[in-house]
Amino acid sequence: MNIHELPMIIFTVVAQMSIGAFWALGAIQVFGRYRKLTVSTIDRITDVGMYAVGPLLVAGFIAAFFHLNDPFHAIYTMNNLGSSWLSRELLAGVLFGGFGAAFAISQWFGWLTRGIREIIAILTAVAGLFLLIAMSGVYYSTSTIPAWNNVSVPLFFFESALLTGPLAVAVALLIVWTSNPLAKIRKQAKEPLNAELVAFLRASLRGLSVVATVAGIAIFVTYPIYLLALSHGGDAAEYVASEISTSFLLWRLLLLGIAVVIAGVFAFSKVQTANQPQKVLIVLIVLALVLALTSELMGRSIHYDGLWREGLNTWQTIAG
Amino acid sequence: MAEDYTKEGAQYGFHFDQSLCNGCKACQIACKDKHDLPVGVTWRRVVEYSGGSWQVQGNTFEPNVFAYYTSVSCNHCENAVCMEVCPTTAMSRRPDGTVYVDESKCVGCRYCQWACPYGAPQLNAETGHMSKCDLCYDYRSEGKDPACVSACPSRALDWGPIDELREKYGETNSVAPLPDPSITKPHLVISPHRDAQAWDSGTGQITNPKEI
Ligand code: SF4
Ligand code: SF4
Ligand code: SF4
Repeated sequence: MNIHELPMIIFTVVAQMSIGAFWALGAIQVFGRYRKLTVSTIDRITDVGMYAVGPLLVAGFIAAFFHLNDPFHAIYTMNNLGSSWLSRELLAGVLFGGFGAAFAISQWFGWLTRGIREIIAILTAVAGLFLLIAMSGVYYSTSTIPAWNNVSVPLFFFESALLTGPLAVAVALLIVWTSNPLAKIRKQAKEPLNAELVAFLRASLRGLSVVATVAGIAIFVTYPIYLLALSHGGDAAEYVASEISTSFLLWRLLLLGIAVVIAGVFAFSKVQTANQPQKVLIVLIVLALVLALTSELMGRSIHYDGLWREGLNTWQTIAG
Repeated sequence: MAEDYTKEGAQYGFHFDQSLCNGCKACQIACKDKHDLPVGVTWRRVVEYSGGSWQVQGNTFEPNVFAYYTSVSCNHCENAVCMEVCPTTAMSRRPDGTVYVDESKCVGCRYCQWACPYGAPQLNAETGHMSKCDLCYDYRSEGKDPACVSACPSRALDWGPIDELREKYGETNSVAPLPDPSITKPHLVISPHRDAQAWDSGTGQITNPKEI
């Protein structure tokens, strides 16, 4: 594990998960409307997930702070939006977090009209896309580092968001199905989910596991292409390809494979028959999320191990 | 009166004569001493590059080997990627064309260090800020030559406005193990060693990776 870049590993994986989760929640909203459910019913299913995304993202930002060697100068980090992808990443992060928080808070207290809240939600989703692009840009734009200056990097980031985000939302949906934590917190009467809502929830769970499975398979497909491109990309690229092709990478792929099989095969078929939130289903989805997250953290560690440049690598590069 | 060594628009840079350098590293030590750099921070580094092959003539195999040194610091590049990627604009250029770190802004994100193909920016863990060669700005404002240039016993280093250096010594700046010069357009002129290899067809290896 690349301990030096641990803050960045955690930040990028967690931020991507929050983006993917927010998109997944948005997709469920759209899907519910297509099914002609009332907005407040759909909210009953998606709210828990949304309130879980916020703290996650905050945790990610706190982790990112540890990457800075002088966080007191953080106020200057948006000085160079004109040319620095890092400035752009920070701006996008602030926008995503800001819009997301505005949406979550107004949703909780029922402030503003539904229409305005929805515009804020759409802005959040777009800021999330901007954040993913900017995050990719930070690495992709470094033309001197072959392991980063490769289209696979933005692909990995998007795939990661679409793998972990939907799985996280699936866990949140299961929580809603099992108990209704929000009603408890708000001291409201607990209404059981009616048949229509359960059917909708099950369909959403199925959709989420399909997206996660496809994203996981896409990561699998991207790796060999990535390594092949590197091993034909000049001395520095070849060197880095051999450096990152380790048993650590195999373990990462193995965990990912198990997560994909669990999400795609077991969970998917279990959801189809479940009339209530069975224990097996909960265990399966939680396991898939944990494995996928672990695998992504390992993959991101490998990403940072790719810091090897064409040109001179100093002792500081070697030591991390 | 001392000469003005910080002239606006001068676009200073370095000249390095590879054929004179014997790898003594006096420049590296002079820089370290002058700027009181902590362990692990080396603004000027002397890279040893060597390689070789067998030459076959009839039934005889003869070794054909080479080794040469390159002293590198920051090249105060025209296309300074370090400045381009720096989120805070701490990595910035003085009016005389030299690139330096404005410590009052640097957030220590290391992005400039990731991007620079010469390994010039190095993190000073004591301050949490990036640090690198500023072409001895303080010495120059007193009319003195940079410490590394004065220290070289074989007079392999020179400095000055890059146009003058190019006129005097030529245009070469693309010797292995240095990177493709088109990435940053370094203010650097090299008088190549007789065995010098081109940046894109070097057959050797850096033999002292932990010293740079
Ligand atoms: S050598 Fe590196 S640090 Fe110096 S100006 Fe060029 S890109 Fe920037
Ligand atoms: S470490 Fe400092 S100088 Fe380098 S990119 Fe970050 S803020 Fe700029
Ligand atoms: S010019 Fe000064 S700061 Fe730059 S390498 Fe030489 S001694 Fe060090």
